[in-house]
Amino acid sequence: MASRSHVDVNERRLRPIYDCLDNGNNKKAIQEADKVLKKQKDLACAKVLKALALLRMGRLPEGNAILAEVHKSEPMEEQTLNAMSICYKETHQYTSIASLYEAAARQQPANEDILSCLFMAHVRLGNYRDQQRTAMALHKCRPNKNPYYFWAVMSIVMQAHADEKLGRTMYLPLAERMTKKYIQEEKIEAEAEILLYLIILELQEKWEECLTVLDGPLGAQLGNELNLRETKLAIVCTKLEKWDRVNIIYKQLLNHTPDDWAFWLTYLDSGFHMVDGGFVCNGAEGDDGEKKSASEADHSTELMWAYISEKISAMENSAQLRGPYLARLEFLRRLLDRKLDLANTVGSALQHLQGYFDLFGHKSCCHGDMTLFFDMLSEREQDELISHMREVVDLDSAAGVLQYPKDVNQLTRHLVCLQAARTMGKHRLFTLEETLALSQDLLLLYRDGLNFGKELLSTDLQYSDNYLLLATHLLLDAWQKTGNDIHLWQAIVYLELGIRESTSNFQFKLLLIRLYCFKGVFGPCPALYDGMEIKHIMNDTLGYIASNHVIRLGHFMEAGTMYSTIASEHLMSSYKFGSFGRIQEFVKFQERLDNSLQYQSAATEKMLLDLIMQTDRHYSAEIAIDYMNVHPLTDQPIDVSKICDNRDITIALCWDPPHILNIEETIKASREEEVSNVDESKEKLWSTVKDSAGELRMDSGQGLLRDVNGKRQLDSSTLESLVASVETISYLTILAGVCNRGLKSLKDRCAKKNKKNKGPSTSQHPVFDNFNQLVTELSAITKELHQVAAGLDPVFSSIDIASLRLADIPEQEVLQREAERLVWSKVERSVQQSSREVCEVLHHKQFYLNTLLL
Amino acid sequence: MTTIRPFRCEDLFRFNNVNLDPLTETYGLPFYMQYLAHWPEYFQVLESPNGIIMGYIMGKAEGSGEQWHGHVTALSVAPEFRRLGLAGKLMNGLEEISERKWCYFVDLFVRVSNKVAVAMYEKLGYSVYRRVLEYYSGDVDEDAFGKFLVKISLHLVLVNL
Repeated sequence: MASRSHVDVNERRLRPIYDCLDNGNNKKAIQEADKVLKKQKDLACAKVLKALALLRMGRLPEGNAILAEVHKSEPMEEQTLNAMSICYKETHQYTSIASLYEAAARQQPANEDILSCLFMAHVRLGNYRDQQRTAMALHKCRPNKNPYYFWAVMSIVMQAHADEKLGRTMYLPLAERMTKKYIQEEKIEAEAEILLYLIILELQEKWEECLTVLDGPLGAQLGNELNLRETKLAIVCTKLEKWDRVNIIYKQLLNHTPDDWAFWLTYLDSGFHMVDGGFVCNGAEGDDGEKKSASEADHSTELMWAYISEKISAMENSAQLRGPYLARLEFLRRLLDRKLDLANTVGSALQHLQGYFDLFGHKSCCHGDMTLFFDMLSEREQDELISHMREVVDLDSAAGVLQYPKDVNQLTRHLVCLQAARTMGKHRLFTLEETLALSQDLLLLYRDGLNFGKELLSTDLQYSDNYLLLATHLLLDAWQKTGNDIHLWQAIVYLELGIRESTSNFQFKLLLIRLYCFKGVFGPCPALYDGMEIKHIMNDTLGYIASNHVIRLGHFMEAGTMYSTIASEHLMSSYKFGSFGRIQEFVKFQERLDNSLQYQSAATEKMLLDLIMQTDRHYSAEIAIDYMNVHPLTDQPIDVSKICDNRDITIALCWDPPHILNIEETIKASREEEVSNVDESKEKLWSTVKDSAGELRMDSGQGLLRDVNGKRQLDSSTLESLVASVETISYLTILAGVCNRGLKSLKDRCAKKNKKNKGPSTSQHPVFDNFNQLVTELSAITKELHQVAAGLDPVFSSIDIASLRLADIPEQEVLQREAERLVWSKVERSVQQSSREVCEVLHHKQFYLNTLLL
Repeated sequence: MTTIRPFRCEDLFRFNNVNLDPLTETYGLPFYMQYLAHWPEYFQVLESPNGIIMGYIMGKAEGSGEQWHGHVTALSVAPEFRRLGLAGKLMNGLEEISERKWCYFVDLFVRVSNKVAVAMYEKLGYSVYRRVLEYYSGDVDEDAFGKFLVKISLHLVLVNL
């Protein structure tokens, strides 16, 4: 009782400190802590809470000093340990959490709470061996609690993950034995434990044993996840090449859900394995169950055909599912691949695709489904399919008069038809005039289609949005074909119009960002990017869309805010909830995040950016570099082979033909390009030094405008090379600062010597003069660049960007003209912002350089 | 035609076409991880034949005693794949899992302004049992929807509604 009341007193005294910390009032928290410490100078928890407040105020050395002192005293009361873990977590000192609890556990080896905190601390660090040791200690402490025992088993499995060879020979067999022991003693309590056993068997590829488990009483207990036992069984039977069983399992699953594509694929896979392998239905395995199942498997093409036909006819007079129809096409493909006669009975791909469009053309996913089978068609058949689709759509312009859809279904069918024609490469055969004419028609169709969507919410997409997207794709075709920017600006105007009607269409925004960046206009991009509410992990997969251009286009301020880091605390909950299957998945996921291309290049770019932005004198450059915590001699270089490209390149809708839109190739090429960027950036600083200063001088006569075909067009290359020069000047200035440090002390010493000698003043060593000359030259270049940058500002220059009108927009197109004006004013503002930011950076460099003369 | 399968971590790298929808919230990673670790059976994803993520559902089982119930945390289908009844399919799966876990009912929250979703849930047999004010930031209110699972003895239903 006495000790309890003692704790209560402490709790009451500490309460005000906790309250202040919770309210973010760190200063007051320190005062409160000091008050308590005056009464009880050894109260460890009060000290730690004071440290926490100090850390949160950014007073790291003071906070860490207190922590170190308390750490040394090896505290063991829960409250202090908790508070210390918070301090360490907030300052990312994860190893200290482990050593803290390690010490506490030494003193109280039977304390379950301390041990489980210690276990989690090891999990956070990925110390599998220590995890195992701690879990076993927990098990000894509470032998009746199953989870602790299986924490140990899982920790052994993770050691196998880290060391594959020892995993096979030692860790996995050990884990298997440990689990078996519990099974034999009938101590298994949870589904998670059975699943862990299966994981261990799978990792050792012991498929027969897996099958025994799944078929036995343990397998019957797997009911938590939908179809889990069935799909696991099918995977195991696939490994064992028991195709008949696989086939039956998927048949049963398909009877329940005839629309599942993965089920259909494996059903056909297993069926054709039996066809190819000459399956004999004789029940060779011997036992009754096998014989029975063998007789039910669809081991011939005829049986599969009957099954598919049955599923299709079962849908007569009821809801039409896409699955069985697409399964029929996939079945036909496999028959044709094998040149089997049954193909003639099944029919032709053309006939089935036509039928598919008739049934599902009004669903927007129809195009994606059909493209899977376009390669089964000859060119003539492709044309035939398109003309059939056009007939069904019934919108071909009569006598040059454009026909409009009468309802959303007809509109969707029309879109599917247009997309199919594009995927088949029909648009690439167009002349420039045909391309532009179709684009114009699509714009009109888009506008008319808006009438169907008047009731839609602002969060919905307009039914006709994809007309507009197709229209811009055609304009971009024209742009690529002719190189004439007019088409590109026209596409931008279309998309700006589209966003007004359909404010949440992210396809419009994604494309707009890309097109603006093409033209060196970054200004409108952050608002578009933010408008899509891209956050957290999406920054990793989509961040490339905007962040790659931020610096390149002179928008320095934006750059600092786009990058964020990712934290991980999730492994611990997998142990807590016994979802062992997730642990390896999480570890792999974490590796993908840690090695993310976007993250690595963002981190590097951020440092380079800080060197440009946060340096207006040498002292500030030193602070910026200190803060980066870079240690060239000891830091591991980025392992390029491990870099993961997490970018989502496929996000933008595109209906281009597969041979043009080779996504895998594009990703590969782009990845290589990006990786080499990351790799080079370390040397970037040095290589730029090698550039002679003379090359930096810009041709100031070259402005932002360029004459093309007698028309003035915006030329963003000036801006790009200006920014590149500014970057170089910034780095050179810092290097000059470093030289200045060395030379200055040398000069001081020379001066002292001269004074001592009192001889005739010897002339200065040429190195000082050379250095001064370099600084003067850099200064002159900076000044020149400053003039160029200031000249770009439309306010100070005579350039009238608004005069870059697209002459093609007719007078009566009020909306388009308005959208165009908006585009040009955005361009103007963006150029202005670029100019001002570049000027400010150069201003700082000028200041910096002035302090460097010896 | 669609593939329904358990959601995996790596799907987080590819669910942009679903999450760029303005009514679909993107949470911090720990949130998804927590669901994957704690209620993996409640986190299902739909994949199209050409490998695109069409939508997903994320839920959990919680509460004690008569309040033990399934909860839908997030349900979303990408714009391209709407009007195919996919959301209903995902909801059926969640209800089935909840029944297996002996849940008494399933509930979920939806913005009042999200008329399409409201209509869909009503069609699936859900009804509003509570309106929550100022749950989302901004000035939109939301309704709590609930549905009692079929297998539950009736007197419990009456007590709770």
